[in-house]
This record gives sequence, structure tokens and C-alpha cells, in this order.
Amino acid sequence: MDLLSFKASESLTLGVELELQLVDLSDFDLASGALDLLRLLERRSIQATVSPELTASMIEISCGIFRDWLEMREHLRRVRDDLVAAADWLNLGICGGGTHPFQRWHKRRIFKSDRFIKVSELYGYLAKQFTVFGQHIHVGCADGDTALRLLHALHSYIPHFIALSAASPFFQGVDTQFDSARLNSIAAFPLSGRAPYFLHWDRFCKEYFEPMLTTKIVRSMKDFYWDIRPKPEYGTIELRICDTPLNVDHAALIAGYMQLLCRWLLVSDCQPTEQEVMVYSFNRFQACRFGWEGSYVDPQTHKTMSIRDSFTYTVARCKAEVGCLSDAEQACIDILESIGTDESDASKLKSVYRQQGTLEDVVQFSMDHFRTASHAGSTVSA
Amino acid sequence: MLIAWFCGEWWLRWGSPRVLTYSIVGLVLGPGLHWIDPVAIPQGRYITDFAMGLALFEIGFRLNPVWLARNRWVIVTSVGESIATYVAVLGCGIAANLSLLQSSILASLCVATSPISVLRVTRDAQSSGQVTNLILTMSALNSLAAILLFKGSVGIGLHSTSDNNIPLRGAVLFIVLSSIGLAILAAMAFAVVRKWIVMPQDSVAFTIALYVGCVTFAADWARLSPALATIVLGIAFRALDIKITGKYQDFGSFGRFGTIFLYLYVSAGISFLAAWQGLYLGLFVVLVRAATKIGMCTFMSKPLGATTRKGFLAGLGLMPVSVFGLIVLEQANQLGMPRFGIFPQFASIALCLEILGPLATSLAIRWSGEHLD
Repeated sequence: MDLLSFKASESLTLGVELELQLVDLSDFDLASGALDLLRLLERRSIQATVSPELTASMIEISCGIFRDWLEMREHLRRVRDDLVAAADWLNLGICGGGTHPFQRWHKRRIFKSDRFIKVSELYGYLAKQFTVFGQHIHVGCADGDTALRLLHALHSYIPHFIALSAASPFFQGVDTQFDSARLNSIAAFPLSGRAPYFLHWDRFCKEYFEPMLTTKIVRSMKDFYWDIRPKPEYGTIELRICDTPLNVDHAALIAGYMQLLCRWLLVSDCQPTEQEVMVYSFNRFQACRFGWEGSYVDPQTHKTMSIRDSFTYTVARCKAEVGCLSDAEQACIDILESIGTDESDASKLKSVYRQQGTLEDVVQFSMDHFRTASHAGSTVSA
Repeated sequence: MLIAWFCGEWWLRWGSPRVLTYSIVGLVLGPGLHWIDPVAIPQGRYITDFAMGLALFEIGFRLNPVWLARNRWVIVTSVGESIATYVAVLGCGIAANLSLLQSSILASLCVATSPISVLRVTRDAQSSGQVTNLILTMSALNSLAAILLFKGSVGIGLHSTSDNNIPLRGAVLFIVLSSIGLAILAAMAFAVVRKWIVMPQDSVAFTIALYVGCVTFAADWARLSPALATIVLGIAFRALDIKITGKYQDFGSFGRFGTIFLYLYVSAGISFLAAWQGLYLGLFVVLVRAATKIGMCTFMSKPLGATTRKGFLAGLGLMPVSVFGLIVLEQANQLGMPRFGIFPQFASIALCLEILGPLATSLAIRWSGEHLD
């Protein structure tokens, strides 16, 4: 397929990718078990694409396409159960979370594949430091122009997604005092950050993507590590800012919020402006550092409020302005309205560390939580 | 020890496991040049018991009972390869005109995979993955099986050969049960104390090492089995969910010192003359043992969840036996149990696998791609 053409897809459909940690059950450090797990999964039927990631202690599961988050949640639960059973067979632990609390980057092994070896040669030690775990959410777009419009409009709400998914307070054995320390690892890559401001697909291709391809700095959209990037071959935009949450129910809920937000942005005919870039980095940092308690500067009004207040206000606006809500959207809003007052994943991990005293206990909690926990709204049926 | 350490670090650059180098240095300086005479340092056995205790504790702690319950093929494979090895070596011994007792002792020692060797080789390679996991787990299981078979052989064998050994015969069962009891009590005591004392992460390895040392010497003082007590201590720690924080692996300088001393001491104690006397049977047993362990792991690879290649490599990694076998033999000797006249045969096996064992484990890890680049 032509790298420059945007494949149309059904508007607001959802897809998700989750990067997961593989854990040694003896010392709770990361285990280089990706290849063994993938080989075992080849022999078992699993309703997801499971693929290796940059280092051998990571795997990525990809599921799609879903009409709503409840459908996604049911699917993710089945995939989670299959994964846990396979990992159990191999004496491996498996969990979510944006970082492993105490792994040492220099002990990681690059997964043996041509692409990862080339990435490793290019980025040196950064490649091993990239052993962090994120959730990527895809939202279907009817055309490239809509994709870019949504992509830039969503930048204003990035702090919500960071606070909602933050699950990486510990990194390399220390309490970073961040809620999401994972994003600091990504910031070191030259092609990370915010996508360049283009609102029309043709112009984006002609003035940015095509010249970048000719420089051979990138070979496809996959080489950009932007917080949100278009994925023309799927006909989606991909939000890459989230930490992998501690359980799949929460992952599906975040996808539900993204879908709701996109629907609201389309209904309200949003027109993003370039000046929103001004406060983007500040808001993003506040969300990483303080989570819900971080400061949020509204890009349009320049008023300051907490990220929690901004989130609550946005959910209320979605509820009021989207119009007729589906059952799934209503269920999503019900949970989102209460989630701002719930403990975030990052707070839960910090709390376990305070109570139990060791980072091994934090990993144990993450594994238990991934295996069993359901979101507070899990009783809501589709 | 300085020479051994220097050579170990030097040869590590070319991928040679440290323990292999220590063994070679021990053989050269001991039976080769007669610079080291273990008989002249009888206190050395305390250090070797301590070093072996640390390794047995560590490998016992790695044993995950939850995994063994979930994937029962691991136990089946381990029991299978232990029985196959025991029966095959027993047959070799009887065919070579050893007595049933001697053959049984030899066979029980050959069941084991030396835990300290596989631990140190995997640590040197900083390996992680399925082959590493299987090697370490099966080493723990078959070492435990070997100790029990050894004690059982001694108990039953002595019973059938002489009535004069009745006190000793009864003592064997007492030793086994008491060693297990001591370890479980020690683990429970530690669990209670651990709740009350906040241990800084950087002192965990030191504290655990001291504790393992205490249990080792308590077992030795009570004339129990330090090997059995320490491996059960590790298993009990895991079963009681006592988390060991920080880098306890190798137990830092304690572990390093103990390992070098242990390999030098044990290698220096091997007699070339004794090994020569038992050469033919020893070499044959090495081949038979390799065939049973590799064969069983390869055969069981699919149910284990591994590829045939990884099953083969896990079996290959189970080759080391020397240090563990010699220490168990020596500990039994200290308790007043004789070496049963099998020292020449086991000396040949030990000599052969001192070199080939760590090499086989190292190659298994390298070929499986589980080592750190």
C-alpha cells in the first residue's frame, strides 16, 4: 500500500495495543521470556495478535476492531486469561504498569529481529532504556483530514489521558515522585513529542511526510514516536501517551473515554489552532509529575485549574453536548464521573510500597491486579 | 585463591565460566603441582559447607511450588530423568562388579546436577529464559532427590549388609527428618523476626548469608545434613512468601569468596591416581548419565511447553555434578559414614565433569540465546 494514502475506516471504531511486562517469579525482576511465550502461544489459540517488542522482557498484544469499549473490555478479558494461562505454564509473571519498578536497563536483551537490532544500533543505550510499557489506542477516521483535525484537537486533552493511565511512579529502583515516569524515557528520542501542525492530509504528506521519507530518516509512520500519530495504513489516529494500566478493564475504559472525546470533538466541529502548542509541554509535564493534582492551563482561555477539574468539566461537557448517548457511552461516563476521586494506578503502587516496604511487593501487587482485578464499573453490562 | 580469581576474570572475557577456570586451577595447583593439600587444612570444610549452603539455599528459593503445581510436567520430567539416571548408573555399577550398596550410592550421586555450578554459570552469563529456568529448577529438584536417594541408600544398604550398623541405620532417618525440621523451624523463625525488623535493602544479602551460615553450622554441629537443611531452608523461605529484596544472588563478596575456595578445595582433593583407577566405569557413567538427562528432557520438551531444541539444551545444561557429589560424600564421611569404596569411580566422574559440566551448561545457555550480549 502507498505510504502516503490514508485508508478510510469506519468512524470512531476502536483498537488497542498493550505492552506488557514479563516477570521472573523468583526475584520479581524482568524475565527475558518473550520468545518462549510467543512460541507457546503459537500452539494455543488466542484472539489477539501477540508480538515481540524491543527488548526480550516485553510483549505487545493488539486487538481490534471494536464498536465500543464494553466490547473491547470483554475481548481483552479473554485475551488476558489466555495470556496468564500461558505465562503460568512457563513460570513467568505478567503484568501491566508503565515501568518495571527496579529493573536495570543494562541487563535487558534486545529481541533478535532485524528491525529491533537496527533500532538498537541506531539508538544505542536508549533502546534498552526504552523498556517501558504503554497503551496505544486507535480510533477510526473516515479520511485523512478528519484524522489530522482530531489528532491536533486531542492534544489539549493529553493531560487527562496521562493522569487517567499513570502507572509508573518507580523507575530503576527509585521513587521518581512522578505519577508517570515512563514518558521521560520516550522524550529522549529525536522523533518523539508532538506531531507537526498540519490540518490537511495532502499538505501533511507533501510538505512533511514525503520530504522526511526522502531524507531516509524515516521509512514509515512507525518511525515517529509522537504522542499521537496518524496511522494511514489502518485509517486511524493512534494515541501513544498512556502507560499500560494495571488491568485490562481500565485499559478499555481509557479507550472508551478517547472514543467519547472524539465523538464530542466531531459533533462540536472542533477547530484546533496552532497556539495550543504553547502550553502543551507544560500541561504534559504537570500530568506526568503530579497526576490528577497537576495544574492545567486551558489552551484557549489560559485559565489555570487542576487536571482533575479540567477532566470533570470535559466529561460533563461530553455528556451534555454529544446528544443521544449509547449504553456503552453512558456506562463510560458513569465510571469516569467517579474515577477522578478514585485512587490512580500510580497512587495504588505508591501505597503498596509504603505499606509493604519493598519494590518486589509492588511487582507482586501488579501481577495480582492484572490477573484478577476488575474495574469498579465491571458490573455494567453492554 | 588470588591466582584462581585472576584466571577466572581473565578467561571470562573469552566466555569461559569462572567456575570452570577455578576447577582447572584447583586441579593444576592441587593434584598437579601439589601446592594445595586439602588434608592440611581440615577447617576448610567449614567454608566449603558454607559456600555450598548458600548455593543450595539460593536454588531452593528459586523452586516455585505454584509453578510445579500448574505445570506438573516439570515434576514428571524431573522424577523421570532422576529415576532413569539412577537405574542406568545402578546397572552400570552392578555390571562393573560394584556391590549393590556401592552402585546405589554412585547412582544417587549421579542423579544430582551441581546447584552451585549451574547457578554460577547462569549468573556469569546473566542468562534469563526457559532453558535457564528449567536448568535451575531441575537442578534443585534432582539435588533434593539425590540427597534423599543417597541417605536412603546408606540406610537401607547398611541395614542389609551388617547388623553392627543398626545405630547408624536409625540415624539416617533421624538425620533426614531432623534436617528438614531444622530448616522449616529456621525459616519460620526468620519470617517472624522479619515482620518486626525493617531491613535496609543493601544489607539483605549479608543478613541472609549469615543466617544460612548459622543454619549450615547448626546442622553440622547437630551432626545433621547441612546440604539437606539449606536446600529445604530455601524452599521454606519461598513457601512462607518471605521476599528477599535487592541483589541477593551470589551473596556478594561472601558468595564469591566461598565459591573460589570451594572449587579450589574440592578440585585439589581429587586424586589423579584414584580417577585413573575408576576411569573406564567413570567415563561410561558420564555418557550414560548424559544420555538419560538429555534424552528425558528432549522427550518431554513439548509437554513442558518448550521446543525440542530447548528441551535438549535444558538436558545438556544439567551435566555438572562434581562439586555437589563430592561435598555430599564428604559430609557423609564427616558423620562417620565411610566413602563406601566408590571414591575412584566418582573421582573419575568428578574429574571429567569438573571440566565438561560447566562447559556444557555454558554452551546450553549460549546456544539457547539466553545470555546477555
